Parts: sequence; structure tokens; C-alpha cells
Amino acid sequence: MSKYWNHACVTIGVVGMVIGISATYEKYRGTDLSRVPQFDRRSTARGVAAVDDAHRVAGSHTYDDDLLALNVGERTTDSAAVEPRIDGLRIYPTIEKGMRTPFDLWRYYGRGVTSFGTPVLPMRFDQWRSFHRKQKPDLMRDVREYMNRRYDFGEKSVAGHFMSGGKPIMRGPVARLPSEVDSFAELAGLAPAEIKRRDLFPYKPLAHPLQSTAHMVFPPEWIKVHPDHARIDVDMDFPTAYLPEFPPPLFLTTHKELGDVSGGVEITLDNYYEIFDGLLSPEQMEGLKELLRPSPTTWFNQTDHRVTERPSRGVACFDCHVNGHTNGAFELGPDSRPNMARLRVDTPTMRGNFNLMQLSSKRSIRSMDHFSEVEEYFDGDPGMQQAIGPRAVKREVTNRMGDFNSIIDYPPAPKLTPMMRLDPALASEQELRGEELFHGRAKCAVCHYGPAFTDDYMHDLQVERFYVGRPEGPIKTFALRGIKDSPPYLHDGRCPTLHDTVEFFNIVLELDLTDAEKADLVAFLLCL
Amino acid sequence: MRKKQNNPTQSSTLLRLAVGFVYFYFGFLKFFPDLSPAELLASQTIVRMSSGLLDASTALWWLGVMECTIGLAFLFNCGLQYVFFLFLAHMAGTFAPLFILPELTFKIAPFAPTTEGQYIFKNVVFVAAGWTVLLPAVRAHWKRTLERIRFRTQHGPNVIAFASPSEAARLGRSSRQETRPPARPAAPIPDLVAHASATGLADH
Repeated sequence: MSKYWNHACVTIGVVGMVIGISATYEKYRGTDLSRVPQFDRRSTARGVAAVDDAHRVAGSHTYDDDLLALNVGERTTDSAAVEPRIDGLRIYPTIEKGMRTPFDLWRYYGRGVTSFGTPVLPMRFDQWRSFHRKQKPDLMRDVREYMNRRYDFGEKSVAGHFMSGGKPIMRGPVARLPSEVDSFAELAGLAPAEIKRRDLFPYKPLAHPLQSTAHMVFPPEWIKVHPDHARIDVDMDFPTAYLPEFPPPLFLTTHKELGDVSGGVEITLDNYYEIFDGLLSPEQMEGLKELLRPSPTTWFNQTDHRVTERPSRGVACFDCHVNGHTNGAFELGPDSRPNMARLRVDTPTMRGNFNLMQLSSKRSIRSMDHFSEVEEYFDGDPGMQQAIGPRAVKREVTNRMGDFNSIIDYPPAPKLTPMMRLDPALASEQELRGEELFHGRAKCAVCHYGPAFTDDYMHDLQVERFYVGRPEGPIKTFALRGIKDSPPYLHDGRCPTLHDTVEFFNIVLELDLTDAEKADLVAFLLCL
Repeated sequence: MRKKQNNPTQSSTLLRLAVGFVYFYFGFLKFFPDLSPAELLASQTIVRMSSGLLDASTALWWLGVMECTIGLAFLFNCGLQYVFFLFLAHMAGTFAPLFILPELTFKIAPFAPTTEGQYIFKNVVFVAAGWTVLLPAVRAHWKRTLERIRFRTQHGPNVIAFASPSEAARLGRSSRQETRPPARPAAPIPDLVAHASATGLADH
């Protein structure tokens, strides 16, 4: 009898503990400390219902109604549209600086404990170094396996086509299809919901291989010349053949007659003066110097809070935007928290910025000054900037950086007329067919038009329709002029070749293009 | 008077309940993201030990299941002889971060632990407590098992051994051993051919 009595007491205790902890967790979720966002579904539903009611009353549309509509996100009768879309997502794991993060971070969501960073490492620097010496080989082995699972980097090039400086252009598509489908055509024939349900989408986002520190990762060709940028924790995950050429040519709008003014070398603080003296205005010259001057960043600096063996002088704008173009270095967009929610972004080219109203790929940066002021040196954290190394660039200096930025030209496109159409006398039949598709059935020109082949808007392609993942939101329409020089494609480089990009849009926009049409489109893109 | 084998003293009962309480409490916390202070260290250790086969949240979930199982076994004093092995595996795992993640567990190895390192080192108390509670149960279980094996070896498979005299008495037996009833002889196989001949069925 006493045994049963004891068990009853213990059972009551256990049940009490379960109830207590569960109730505490609900309470905890409502606090700022919780990384699990709490949604008030009733209030969103109420908001939508209120907007609907307001609009049912004819002629009663007021300013208050608009405010109410703004508060609920969008005016719709479908309450699902304003409800959280977290089905199938997991909460971000608890991670300390330097620790490995899942490669499929798009499947996670949650809030951070704080928006603010700290310049303190979670361990002593010598421990930090030995920690990464142990972790990096395993990490890079897994990164290579992961990338090879996703892509077939066979390094086959497109015959007869080269980047502006002569580097071969890689042929695709290289994204691997899941075993359940035989071809991209078969995949494109499936409905988005079916692709999502069967987990067939080959162009899911790419995360930073080590998102807990993240920051800039430079390609091997750059590291060879600048070993001070070799990281102790992580390396580039793309093969060099699928990255832009190094060093790339530099074309100026003010000196088109000179062609590549770089002379085939990397422009540095040591050589910029002799190359550009007599070609640039003093303001442009000062701007260029600032673009070449390294300054400390969150993880490249003289403090212990770094990812280099030895203290680093930092990073200059032209370290990623080599010669005003890009070397394929990637990092994270600084515009979100927690760190694991930040999207991987490749370095966009600076060529043709003079023609763009919106700069960068994921953020809506509206001016050259803004562009120069907010770049990712401190991951969008002024506190880190203050602690690690001030980089408060004055407005007149950023203005001058903008002065040089605004004369970097696109590479020549000899087959294009001033109206940005192909010259029939120079273009092949296939290229002309591609142009027709571009402006017609393939719908490219709906967003990619004008002198830079961009509408300067940001669009939400809603790619999460095709896989279980966190919505990525609007992304800038990339300028297609000179696009053959800037692989890999999309903001995070998930499409390594132009062929992959065409396959991506064929699926996402449900275009139903034939293989021949896709080849024609690529042929046209290579002319731009 | 015969002592109970599993919890011979009151202090041992208290120790068992205390260990069970802590195991269940800390284990159950692991089902709630962000609530367990050991989340980072535990999940990272398992992820590394599994060579990345388990992701952090799955690792934490399984660890929660493991700790709750051990905790409940301790609290309800059942299955301790089996939980012993789970307990040993868990304890070995708790000490693993000292070797796998020394950067997080030591300010300067091996004598200056961090808070997390100290948290791990204090598990030696758990080892001792678990050992104290579990060992009598495990010893009794293995003793019984060995006795049974020895008994079978001596008396053959047709002999039943009662666990205790009280069990024998409860079943109305007089001794701790009794011979099984002899196996029933196999039924003769009917001679169908003879049967068919006798009844005339073979002619058809």
C-alpha cells in the first residue's frame, strides 16, 4: 500500500513539474529574452476582420481604414495571408561565435537574444585559434561534400565565349536534380506545391558555411595575392572556375577610348596614382584612394576579435569589388537579426552603378553616398564599429567615393545597338531567337529593361513556394549588362551558371520553356 | 527481517529521489528551445560526437528523452538495472565536452574551468550518487540472473526456480524448486494408408 502511495506522490510531483515548466515556458516566450517569437493570431485575425468590415460599408473609406490596413500588413480577405508562415520551420539552434551552423539555415527561424554584438570572443584568442584549427578541416570537408551534393562542378566551359578579360565561361546547368526526376523539363512541369511537397527544388538558398561568425570570405585567387585575408575558420566554397576573373578589367565611362584602364593588374594603393593620374578629376582620385584604403572590420582588424592568424589591417572596398567589379567574395547582408537570419550575399559588381537607382542586392540602398556609408564592414552594428576600429567616413569623403563609383562602366557589348537591341548584322540566329524570347515568352524584359536591363525595383519571387523555408523577401532586379562577367548568380550565388539561372526562372516563373529556347536565351545573355 | 534490496535505507531513497528529480527536471527543460542553460554545450557536444549526423535541435531532443527516462526510472524505482547502462553512457557523455570542447570548458586547461567546465566537473557527485543508488539494484539483478543460470546448469531446463521462498509460498509450493511436469508424449501419426484400405476409400 505504501508503495502505491509513494508512487502516487512521485507521479503528482512529476506532473506538477511538467505543468510548471510548460507554463513557465509560455511566460518566458512573452519576454524579450526568448528567441521564439510569439504571435498573437487573434489580433491579426481581428485586424483583417475590421478592415473587411470597414470596406463593406460603401463610401465609408477613411484615413483610419488605411492605417488599419497598414497595421495588419496587407489588405486582404484571406486571413492566412497575414498569419505567420512558420509551418515546417525550426527554431535557430543555440550557437556561440565560431561554432558551426546548419547548411540549410533557410529551414530555421526565430529571434535573437539581442540585436547588439559584443567585441569579446567566447574564449581566449589562442583557444579561439586552436578551436578553429580543429574545426576547419572537418567543416571544409563537409562544405565540399555539401556543395558537391548540390552541384556537379565539372568545369565544362561554353565554347567560344569568354569573360571580358578572357576567362572561360562555365556551362550549366550544374545544379543536381533529385533522383525522383529525370530532367529539368520534367521538374518544370510540376506544380509548385508538388515540388515543395516532394522536396524536389534544386535551387534552395545557400547559407554562409560558418554563419556564426559569417563575414567576408575571399576566393583562393585573392588569398594567393593577399594572404593576410586567409581565414582561420572557413574558406571559399565555390570552385575558382565558377567565380569572376581576377583581376578583372576596369572600364571608365569618361574614357571609353582606352578600354581596360587597369592594364590587366589589380589596382592598389601602391599603383592607383600612376595608373589614374591625368585621367581622373581630383575628387574622383580621392574617392578612388578611399575605395582602396583598408580599414578595420568586425572580423578583420588588429584586435583579438578576428578570424586571421595575425592582426589584419582590415578590408578595403576594392578588396571585394576588385577593380570596380567583383572577385566573388561573399558575406551576409547586414540588414537582419539574429545573425543566422541574415542572407548570404555575393559581392555585386560596381560596374554601371551610375545608371542604378537602387544599389546592392538585398537592401534598398538609394544613393552612392548611402552605399559608401553603410557597407558591411561592421555588419550593421555601430557598437562594434566603436569598439573595434572607428570607420566614421565623413560625408564629403563618401561623396567622392561616389564620384569614382559613378564612372565605372559596363564592359563593351559590341553586338548591342544604342537601343539595347541586338544588331542583326552581328548577332547569330540563335542569339536573335534568344532576344525575341527575352522580350516575349520568357518574360525577362518585364523586369530587365532599359540601358542596364533592370527596372530598378525589388521583387519578391516567393521562391519559398517551392521548398519548406523562410521567405526571403524582395530582392533587387540585377542589371543584366555584362552579366556574363559576374557568376555565380542570384544574390547568394545559388545559380552557378547562366544556364542554371535560366532553369531557375523557368521553374519559378512557370514559363515552360523548351530546352532549345533555354539555350537561345543563354546565347542572348552572353551578348549583353 | 529481510532488507529490501533496492533501497535499503532511507538516505538511499532520498538520494534516489534527488537524482531522479534533477535528471527529470533538467531533461524536461531540454524539450523547450532556449530554456536549458546547458543547451549550447550539450547540443554542440552531441553534434560533434555524431559527426554532424544529428543537428543541434534533434540532438537536444534525444538528450531530453534520455535524461527524462533516467529521471523517471530513479523516481519510480523501476528498471534501474537497465537504466544503469543508460546512466553510464550519459555520464560519459557529460564529461565529453572537457575533451571535445576544451575551449569552452576551461579558461586554462586542466585546472581552471569555466562556469560550464565547473558544471561538468560537479557531475562526479552524480556519478557517486547514481552509483550508490544503482549498484545494489544492478548487483541484485545480476546475482539473480547468475543464480538462475547456475541452477539451470545444475538441474536442467525442466526445473523451475522460484525467485524467493515467499514467491514459492504464494504459489502454494513447498520448496524453491520443483520439477516441471514431464513433457506430453507426441501423438502417434495416424496411418492414413491403412485407414484408407480398411475403410475401402483406397478403391475409389
